[in-house]
Amino acid sequence: MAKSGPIVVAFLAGLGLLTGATLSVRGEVRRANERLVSGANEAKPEAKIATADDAELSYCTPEFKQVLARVIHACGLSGAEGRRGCQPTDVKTLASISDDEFNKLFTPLKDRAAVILFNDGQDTLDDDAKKALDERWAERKGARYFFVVARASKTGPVDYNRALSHKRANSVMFYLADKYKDPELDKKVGLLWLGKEFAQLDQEYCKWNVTRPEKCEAEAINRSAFVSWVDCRL
Amino acid sequence: MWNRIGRWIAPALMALGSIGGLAFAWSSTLDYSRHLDRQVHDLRCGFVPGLAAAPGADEGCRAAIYSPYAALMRDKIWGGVPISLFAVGAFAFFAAFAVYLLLAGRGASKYAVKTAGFLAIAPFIVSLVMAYLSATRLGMFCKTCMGIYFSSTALFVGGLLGLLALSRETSSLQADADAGPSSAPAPRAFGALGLVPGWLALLACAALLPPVAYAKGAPNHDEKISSCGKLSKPLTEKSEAGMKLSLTRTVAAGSRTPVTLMVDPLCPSCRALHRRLDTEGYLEQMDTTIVLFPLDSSCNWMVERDVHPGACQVAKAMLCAEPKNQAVQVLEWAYDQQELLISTAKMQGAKAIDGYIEGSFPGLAACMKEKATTKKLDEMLRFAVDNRLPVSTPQLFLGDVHMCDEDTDMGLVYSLRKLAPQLKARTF
Repeated sequence: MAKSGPIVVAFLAGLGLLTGATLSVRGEVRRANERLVSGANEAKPEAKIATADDAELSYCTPEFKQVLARVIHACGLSGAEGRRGCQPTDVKTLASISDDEFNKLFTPLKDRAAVILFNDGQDTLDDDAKKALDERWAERKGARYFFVVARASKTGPVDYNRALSHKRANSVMFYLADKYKDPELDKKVGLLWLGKEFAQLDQEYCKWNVTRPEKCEAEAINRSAFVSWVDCRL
Repeated sequence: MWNRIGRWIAPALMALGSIGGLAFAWSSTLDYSRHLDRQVHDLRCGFVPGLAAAPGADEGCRAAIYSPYAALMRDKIWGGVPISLFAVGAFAFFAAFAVYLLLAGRGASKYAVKTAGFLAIAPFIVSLVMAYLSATRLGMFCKTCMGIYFSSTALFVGGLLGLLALSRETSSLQADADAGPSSAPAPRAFGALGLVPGWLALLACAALLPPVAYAKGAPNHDEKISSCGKLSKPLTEKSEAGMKLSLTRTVAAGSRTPVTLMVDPLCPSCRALHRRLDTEGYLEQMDTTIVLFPLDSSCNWMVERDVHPGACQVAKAMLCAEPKNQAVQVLEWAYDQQELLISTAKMQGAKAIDGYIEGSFPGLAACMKEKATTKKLDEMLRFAVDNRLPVSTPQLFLGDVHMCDEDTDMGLVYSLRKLAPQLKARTF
């Protein structure tokens, strides 16, 4: 081999290796750039990442959500409207639901809810009621909405009981507002007042988490406000 | 024997080391380049260059490519210029030099053999430094990197053998000359000393050509970096959804940048990000608020399957730690013991972690069971809901700017320079 032969061969070998390696890296960079621009996914398919959201438990049936939606959208829960809460006729008319069906919707909330009892003709929260409210309020977990369903017993005229149940619902709302000063309370708490004319509770509900179990009977259970966080999305 | 070593074995070993080093460096660079699309790819992390690693076996290589030692100019180019590219050029040069020595035999000048021998020390020293960093800073070795270390060693040994053979050859020729005229081969020519700078220049050119070509073609990520939105409901001073914690023992002078870190104490990526921020010197410049987001369905309603069972207990332990800075110790402990805690939770159930917590941080058990602690954790989880964040960890927010997940590893330094220019990376 001529004296310059090894130099030429080595130079060409080095050049070849260098050029080949550089071009292949450039090619990989170019392809990465193309994927970056086009958004094409070359990587192994990954599970789509969910977006953080409120809890959605199995009791959030379409029927339950219908009532929930009714309260949220039509009864002023958003807080934008002047009026707040749902009246018995609203629920009856728009949710198209019977008394029993309505009550059954809340059965899955037995362990999550509390039933706050009031004195006859009164709307004042006693200490036990406040304690129960605090406990329920603290147990929010992933829930988006807090339901307050106030009732009145059968004693007395319809209008009186409608107004009384409205006051009971408001008592809960005012207590929460005073105690927690949550600026978004209006968007969380949904109020329903049913008076005596819709979805009265039977004595079986005395077995739930009521504030005065010793005084609970068929009439007393309806002098109440049912309160619970609701783990449903809309 | 030394004749054969000098003639064949030394240059062959150099050629083998160079080709091996080139192949490993090239394979590593391709892996690096592939990630410029901001996606997560499998790595070819093994002792056979170019061969894909078995699932889960690429941890070392991933730690290496995300480390601050993997690239230069990381604040100028997204991901920086991988140092393996310099190795690609250098090994190509050494391969050519070894081929020349093999073909030229005794025709190669003394200067050529000496230059090859001495230059071969350089990649060996670099490999020693990188191996030291891997062992002490990363705590693990990447197989592809080890391939480069072995190749550099072969190259170095080949160069050393060449030098020793040359020395033997010179002294034996000297002895022959002293003994009088003989039929011994003519002494090797010294060669032109002026060629030595030329070879050095060639080595420099070879080492620089691939990085220059790479840097010129590297994609622009600027638009993507700022595309991950802002917090619609950032944390306020009164908010219970965050824990203000000093995550470093040293605190940089001057004003610090408000940062929110959403983490799961049992999430390996969170640990990796935490350590990257620490290694790069960012943590000490940050006014950090931690939002705990355990990917554990026992407390997190957004998680359908337990990604990190037991994370809820560790999170509650952090919330219960007193004084408050003990929460950092709990977090660091959880990061350090992550493998043990995760495997224990998977094998014995998440409750088994309580024993480890009690052992390391006694007195937290009662608080961890309190409703108030659960409520605090719920508040943190709601931070993600209120801001419609992805159900994933870690997530980093500079003020209210959401740093994209893709920018928290390879592109961290570049992206932070763009989003928070006041934060300075530590120089290495």
